[in-house]
Amino acid sequence: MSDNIPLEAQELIRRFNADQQRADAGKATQRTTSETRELPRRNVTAKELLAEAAKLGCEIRAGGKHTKIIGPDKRKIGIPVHGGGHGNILATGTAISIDRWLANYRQTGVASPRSETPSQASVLAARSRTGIK
Amino acid sequence: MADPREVRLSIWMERYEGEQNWTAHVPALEQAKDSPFIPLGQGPTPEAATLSVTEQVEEELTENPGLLDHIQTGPQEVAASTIVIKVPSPNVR
Repeated sequence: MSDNIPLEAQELIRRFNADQQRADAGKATQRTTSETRELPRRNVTAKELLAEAAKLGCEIRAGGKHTKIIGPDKRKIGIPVHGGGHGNILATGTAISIDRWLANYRQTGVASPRSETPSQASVLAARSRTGIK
Repeated sequence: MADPREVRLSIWMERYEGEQNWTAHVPALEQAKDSPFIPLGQGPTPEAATLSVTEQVEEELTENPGLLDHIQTGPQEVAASTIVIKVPSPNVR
């Protein structure tokens, strides 16, 4: 740099140039990333989703050509693999739908009131009439 | 025993780039607020995914005939297409 420029100014210029280089490098990386595309892959196997479903209180019914997950409120979702294929990675479209369905139970964390069986409902109704909690 | 009757049910399918398998969805059941069952079909071809989801629905109907009510209130036909959109080039400094 020119000897006429004060040292403080030279340091500011040096820092400015370094910041510009970093910013340009970041833009180049961003362009590269957008070109390669981050796909919403789940890369999960049926086994992993079934394990999570079980932790959320769901029942797993395996058998035949398909496996079903039964939620605490008795709603079901089908997993399109049979028992032997649980270790295979699911298609992203499949994984996203199952993930979205499981999100209902992750958020609530408890069973829906509709999970009451008719016998449970009658017991609860009787308790409410007698004031027993 | 009477022969089973046939009911039309619309499905749509998707496949992500780089993956082999298609996923088949049933909008009448997947999008319904109180759907008791969501079938998901999967297969290396659209036909295989269709067969997979068909089997699931038929199997569930034997256990839960009430599922038919949800099926019959859903769309009978859907159409899917792929469109081409123009994306403006990012400005480069």
